[in-house]
Amino acid sequence: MENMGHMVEELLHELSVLPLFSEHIGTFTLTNYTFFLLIALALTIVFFLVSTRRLSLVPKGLGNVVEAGVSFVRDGLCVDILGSENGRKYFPFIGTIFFFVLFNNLLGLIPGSLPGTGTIGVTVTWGIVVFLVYNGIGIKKNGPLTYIKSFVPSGTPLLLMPLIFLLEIVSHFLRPITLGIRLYANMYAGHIMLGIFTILVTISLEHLSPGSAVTGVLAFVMRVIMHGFEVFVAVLQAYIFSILTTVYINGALHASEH
Amino acid sequence: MEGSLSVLGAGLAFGIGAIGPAIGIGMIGAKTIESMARQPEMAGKLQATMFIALGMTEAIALLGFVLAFVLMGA
Amino acid sequence: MEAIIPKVPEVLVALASFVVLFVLLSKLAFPPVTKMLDERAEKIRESLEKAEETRVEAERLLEEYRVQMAEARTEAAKVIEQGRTVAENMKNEIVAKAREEADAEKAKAIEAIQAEKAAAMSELQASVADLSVAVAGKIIGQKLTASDHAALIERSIAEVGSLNEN
Repeated sequence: MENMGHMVEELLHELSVLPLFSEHIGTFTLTNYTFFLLIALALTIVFFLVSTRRLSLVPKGLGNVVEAGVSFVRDGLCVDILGSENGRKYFPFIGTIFFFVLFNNLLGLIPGSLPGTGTIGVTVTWGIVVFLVYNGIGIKKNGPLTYIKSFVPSGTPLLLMPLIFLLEIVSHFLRPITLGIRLYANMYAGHIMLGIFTILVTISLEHLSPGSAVTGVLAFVMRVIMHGFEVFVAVLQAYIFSILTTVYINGALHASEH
Repeated sequence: MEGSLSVLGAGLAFGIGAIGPAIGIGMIGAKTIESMARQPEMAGKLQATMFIALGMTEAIALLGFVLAFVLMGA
Repeated sequence: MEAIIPKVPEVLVALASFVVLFVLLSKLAFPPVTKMLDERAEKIRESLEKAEETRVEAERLLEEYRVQMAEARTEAAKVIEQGRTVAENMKNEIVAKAREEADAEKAKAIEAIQAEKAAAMSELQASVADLSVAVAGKIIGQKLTASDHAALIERSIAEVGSLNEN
């Protein structure tokens, strides 16, 4: 059993951010997560370039997949929440977010690879990008003063205004952080869980005995099931990230109505 | 045992931190089933909304999970 | 603790890759796909509209033809009715005329018969007169005088006349 502590430590060490090469270009270095991030980037670009060649009026093959994905994000998500005109205008941003997060999450499910989104630097960065973008949209559409005034709902008495304003500001600044942490925690914890089930299987195979064999088989079955669950979580988290982005953009666009 | 307090903290972080989200997820499921039974034709939309709420609630639980591992390493 | 602190290299890479992907996708990948989606929706809408138009047109034509058929039918029925009446009248006329002619013929025939009978009667009178005189002469064996002739003739005529009247 002392083994287990070591193995868990090892697992955690493997999953933490590690530099790949020993040279640094200034403070810059490729880490294990960034490596897979770049692989996912290349994969997304290749996927889209290849499938846009296969588009036809009657959908078939890869073109069908890409069309289904784009239709899902645009018609089911953007247009649904933002309305037809705004939905089409902001679709490229939301689409990029969805597909990049999706490919990163899914890439991490290949055994031996890591999800690029499994580290807090990446996800919180994207969260901050979303934050800047949606505030930018709000300010561009409504003018800076109206937008900031919209934080306070119009009917509040004068005494409560500073308090509510503060609360709103805090909640707004929490948004990128929660976006980032939600995605990061889901991916990181998923990998840890898969790793722990693997450790269980390994340990139960080391000192073989009936009890441990049963545990081993159970752990293996659980691991397979959890792997499938992780696929679902990958897609779901990409979807949630995108839909929250859309909802924030919608709130910013309609700020003048508060 | 080095770091025993942090290990204890890790255990408590995840343990207590999972109570709220677990109750929350149960309530989401129950309300969704109830609404679907009331109005079967809305089932698709209800399911989508359920998944969204599920993802957000689970994130809070996972925050505790991740914090536990962070504390274990510290 | 270090798992929660973002690391600078990662932040830069994440930012750069996101921007690169955004530019590439929104210029190269999303426009063709959205264009294809919109095209298909447009085409489907168009063909649906056209199908609707054609259907309405077809129904209108069907209505027109139906009305025309009904009119033609009533027209035909009227013509038939007319023809029948005309035929009916003609039949009646012909029958009437035929009857008239038949009656005329009958009348003429009766007249002819009457004339024949009269002629026959007078002939008969003559022969009966002669015969009766001869028979009477024979029976009586005497020669009749002229006045006895006349008296016998008158008596036999009266008897034949009374027979004739029967």
